[in-house]
Amino acid sequence: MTLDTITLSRLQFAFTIGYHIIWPAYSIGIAGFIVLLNALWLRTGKAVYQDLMRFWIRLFALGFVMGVVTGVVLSYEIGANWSGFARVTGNVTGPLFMYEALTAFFLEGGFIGIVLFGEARVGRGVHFFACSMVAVGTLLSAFWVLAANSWMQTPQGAILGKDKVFHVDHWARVIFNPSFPYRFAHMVCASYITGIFVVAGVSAIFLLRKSNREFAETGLSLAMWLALFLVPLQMFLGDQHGQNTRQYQPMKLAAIEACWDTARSVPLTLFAWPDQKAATNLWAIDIPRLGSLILTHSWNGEIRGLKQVASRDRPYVPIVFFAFRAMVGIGLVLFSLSILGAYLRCRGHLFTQRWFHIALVMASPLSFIAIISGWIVTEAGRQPWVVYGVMRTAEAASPLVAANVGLTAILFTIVYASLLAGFLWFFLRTIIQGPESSVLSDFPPPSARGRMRATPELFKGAP
Amino acid sequence: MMLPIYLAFALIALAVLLYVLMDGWDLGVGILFLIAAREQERDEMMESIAPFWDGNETWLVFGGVTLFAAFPSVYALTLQALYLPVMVMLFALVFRGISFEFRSHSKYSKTLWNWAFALGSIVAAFSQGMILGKLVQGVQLQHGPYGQTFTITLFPLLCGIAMLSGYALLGSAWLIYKTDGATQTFGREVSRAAWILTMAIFTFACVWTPLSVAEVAKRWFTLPGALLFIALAVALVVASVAFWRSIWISQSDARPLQLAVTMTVLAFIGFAGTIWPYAIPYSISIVEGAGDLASIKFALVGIVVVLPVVLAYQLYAYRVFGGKAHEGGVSYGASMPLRPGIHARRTHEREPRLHLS
Repeated sequence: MTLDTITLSRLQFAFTIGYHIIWPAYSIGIAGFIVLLNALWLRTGKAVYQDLMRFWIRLFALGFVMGVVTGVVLSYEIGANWSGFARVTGNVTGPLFMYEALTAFFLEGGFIGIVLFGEARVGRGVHFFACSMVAVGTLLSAFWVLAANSWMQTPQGAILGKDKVFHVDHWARVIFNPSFPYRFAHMVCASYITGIFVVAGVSAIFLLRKSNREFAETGLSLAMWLALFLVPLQMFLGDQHGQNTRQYQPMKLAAIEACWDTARSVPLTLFAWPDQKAATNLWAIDIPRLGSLILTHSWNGEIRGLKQVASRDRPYVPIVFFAFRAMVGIGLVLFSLSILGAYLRCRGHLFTQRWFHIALVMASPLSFIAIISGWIVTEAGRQPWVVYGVMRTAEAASPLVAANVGLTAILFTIVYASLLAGFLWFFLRTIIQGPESSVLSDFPPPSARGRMRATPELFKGAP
Repeated sequence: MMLPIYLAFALIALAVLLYVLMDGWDLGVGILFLIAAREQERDEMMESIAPFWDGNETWLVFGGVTLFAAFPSVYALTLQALYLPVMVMLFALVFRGISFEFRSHSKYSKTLWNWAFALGSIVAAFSQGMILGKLVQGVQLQHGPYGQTFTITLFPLLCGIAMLSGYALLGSAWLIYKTDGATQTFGREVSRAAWILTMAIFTFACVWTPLSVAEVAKRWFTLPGALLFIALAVALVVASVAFWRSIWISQSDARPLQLAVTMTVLAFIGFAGTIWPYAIPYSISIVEGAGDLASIKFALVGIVVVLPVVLAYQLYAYRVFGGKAHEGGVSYGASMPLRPGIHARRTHEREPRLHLS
């Protein structure tokens, strides 16, 4: 790999957009949760919901602002680093991004002030409305940006003219392109799950620290209910998305499974080291036929292999292969936790099992990793195309001097790393400070906590 | 036939103008941030823009992506040609934006975020001026890689300083409008300095631009265009004199801001008139740079329907947080309830010398 302009632009864009995506995902999830809390508060009038809402608005603000500042960068980076892409696809993707700013960013920007500072200045109904508008804004933003991305994955509704520029002939077909509904549903669900497990993890920290009990129990209970429904839903959506990929982007699917030869009754490769040059897998651990069953829902379904296309048209397999396994692995961990949570709830142990709370705290960053892995799968799996099958990534890059791109790439790494450090610092401190509560019901004294004795020895010393 | 193209360009110009005005006053507050004497004033300055900055900055994104939608090649060519100043502006905006949130949470690192906020605002304003200057000079289209030679000429630097002082002027007028007491007095004091600096540099730039860029001279000094520029110059002089007079003595605290906005609008019309009818000065015209008519129309339908709604709720947000910003009332995200009566108390505390009229 030589560090030429194209490689550096790709690295910089992959880093800046990969870093950015975790914040909108967090914002979508937490904004939805805030609307839920606000609605519960309006309906029941219970102070604990108001406390939860105010506390989560503070944590939301931290993540939201990270999304805003890293998002502004992207809207200009597309032109600056990918002028070829902007010129050729501008007629198609440009209006989609325009609609994102028009319908989503303004909505978020217009109402975020009222959400954060306006509670005492406007009525409860208006505050609820503002929270809802911010949540709708985050969803609309996902709608437009995923429409644009999905069009790049499965282009239709536009023709590449003789002037080497795309011209749209059918907008509905551009927006509702074949992969869009699946990608949108999969991403929105992923965002909600991310938010839910952050809520679960933070609530678990309170339970472990034995502070703000009612607050923490209500938060954890809501989160685990939502997880129980959304995690299985996400697995179903992921499967559907995979079916769609098999149909429209067969080489991406082949890279996911490291499947080199077209065959029927393919095995499921649990682990392997895909060798890109030799076009084969080393140290493969296979389960016979399971691959076909999962991917085609039939015992002897056909999977098209990477050797169907010339080696220059294949994505780099190892990165797609491992990123996919990271995503699915994390999905299975979160699924187990959701089921375990439901089981513990039935037994009445949800709020008392310290090992479970520790597991939730450790699991809360996992969904962010899953989201980034998922995006690596879908974006690296699309290569070497920027518009699948039509325009190569190499044709999309701006003709810039490599040194300039290298400089900005290094700066982005430093700046974004320090922003993350700042975010984590203030995020954790806000949690440690706890909610500014009207409900100060602390844990009962240790003698009263009968069920706590069921705690395994191992975690006795935990905080 | 060409109407949608010009309409789209006019809307982009409107977005840029609204950005320059609205982010102008909150970047301006950032530029003045470290000059303020005490932390108390800085808190109040921050508070006066905290609910609005995100909405304000959205105009920059909207302007950029609308350019992308309606003039894809202009968007692509301009940004790659101005790669470094654009990136510097983006880095600065990142630091500035994040400071709103991090500063409000900080206990020990407040100084750090003060500096990040002020320097971010200063560098962002300066690089926007540089970009403007390079546009007025004309963007050279080339075939080879962009950025091989790195030359900084004096003219863009001057434009950078002009932008900086212009935003400081808007920021100081904002402080007069939105704050009271010591912070307002600070706004009035710094307003005069910003005015002097802006006037000096602006006059200098207006003399220098036609001398160094032949295209500009042709536009400014030949009829009938010259009439527009003369009218603009006269109006600007009147508005700026009125501004100077309104800093300490005026009917309302909003007057300096109104006049600063008028000055900005006049200067913006002058800029637009200078590069008209080019989309990339002086090589690609608006019509040449336009994308597909179908795409422009698709974008325009949305803008015509949605933008009035956007303006309505932005106005509503400004009304919700209307009046003077409070000192220590609401910090960003923390402690929601306002202390009752704080507003009235502070009004009484205003120094009488601030009410000469």
